[in-house]
Amino acid sequence: MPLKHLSEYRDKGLARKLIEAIWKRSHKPLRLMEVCGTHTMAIFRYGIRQVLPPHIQLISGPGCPVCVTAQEEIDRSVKLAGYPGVMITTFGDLFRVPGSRSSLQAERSEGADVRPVYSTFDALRLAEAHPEKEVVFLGIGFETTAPTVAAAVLEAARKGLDNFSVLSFHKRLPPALEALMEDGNLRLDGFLYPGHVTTVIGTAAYEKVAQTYGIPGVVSGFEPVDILESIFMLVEQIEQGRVQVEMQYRRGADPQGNLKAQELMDQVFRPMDASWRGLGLIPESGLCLRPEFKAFTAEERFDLRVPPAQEHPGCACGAILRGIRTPPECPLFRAVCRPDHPLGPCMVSSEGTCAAYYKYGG
Amino acid sequence: MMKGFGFGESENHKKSKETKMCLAVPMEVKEVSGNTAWVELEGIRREVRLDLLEPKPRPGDYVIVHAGFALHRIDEEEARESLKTWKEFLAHASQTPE
Repeated sequence: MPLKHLSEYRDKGLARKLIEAIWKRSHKPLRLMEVCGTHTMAIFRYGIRQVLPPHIQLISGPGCPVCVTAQEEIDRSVKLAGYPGVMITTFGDLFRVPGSRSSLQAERSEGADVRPVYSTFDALRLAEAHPEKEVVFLGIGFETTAPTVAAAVLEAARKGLDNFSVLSFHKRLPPALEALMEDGNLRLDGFLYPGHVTTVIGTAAYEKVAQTYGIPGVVSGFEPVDILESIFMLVEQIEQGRVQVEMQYRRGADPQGNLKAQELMDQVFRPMDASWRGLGLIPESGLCLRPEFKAFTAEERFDLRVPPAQEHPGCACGAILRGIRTPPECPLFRAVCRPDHPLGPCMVSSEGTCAAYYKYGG
Repeated sequence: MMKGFGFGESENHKKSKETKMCLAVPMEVKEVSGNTAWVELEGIRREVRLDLLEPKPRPGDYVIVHAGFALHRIDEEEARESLKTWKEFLAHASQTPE
């Protein structure tokens, strides 16, 4: 049975026509960055790199939430897991990322209470069911996920849940894109912007990237037809010499974003300077809880200071996240770093560039 | 001109039902009750929060669900129009010689 709002965008006939149109229209060599890890996975899963003209290169960017979580942040969550009476809740993949000395998974096998959840409200339910525990939600991810954490904090405040807190490692995408361009090592002709971050924040934030650095962009959905349409739109802009932020994903995002989600996010969080793996410290690129929500801030309850972080020597995740190296150029890739034994987060995460290269080749 | 066209989803992936962090999918709203709704995709029902959606969706609407929250109500007309425009454009483009 066809799935509404999905099957139409997996139509092979339509995809073939788009590929033909791209071949006809595109003449200049192009380097396009797909910012989002979900785009990376879709591009590999559907073999999109193989069907494009050879002069169009797709480069993966810093949009995999687990991958950009800094080593020091992993170390802090590992330290948190060691406190007696703490239950850590978070989304899937983060567990397996090796920190400087240990991982959450290793801590769990030593007896720490670490639980994956599907939603922030699952974490709230655990806090209600276990009043004897200190339930901490590890907030990772971009603007798509941060509002769901904001909603949970507001609900916890309403209910007076005093055994729930958040350790926020949330990141804001636009400052990272600006940092990438400032770095100067990356030569790019266009951005494929992430549809669901845009669903929340809207397109205004990308205008600065377009105007300051002269890089065109298209906000893209996640199905193969979406991605091909977006690539075609970028090709058109570049061939015509235009620099704009355009919207392909019209069914999934409004240009102004989701105002309600923005409101909740602003109510609970404020921007702070944050460290990114591969990109270093970026001003105002993270989110922390506002002082009014101090009661729900994990750092207020636990000492989470850690020694300087150490990454695996030789791990190229940082350069891969900046788009200046590819996984096969990393000496660890396949040889010793594999999905069953990952040495860096880009291999751990199901959305990581190394995991995609490993699974689909390339 | 084009290389072998290996377009299509791998079998491995069709079987995989894992919940990926950023995988937000369109699901049909079945029931709305206060700040939660029951939504469905491929026969799988799930309860989602509506805290982030204003105005609230109605049964029959499609919403994009991310990590247990409805994040966006899909504009049916926008979706239909956009698809139609692309199909017309591509039909025309494929008849135009280089």
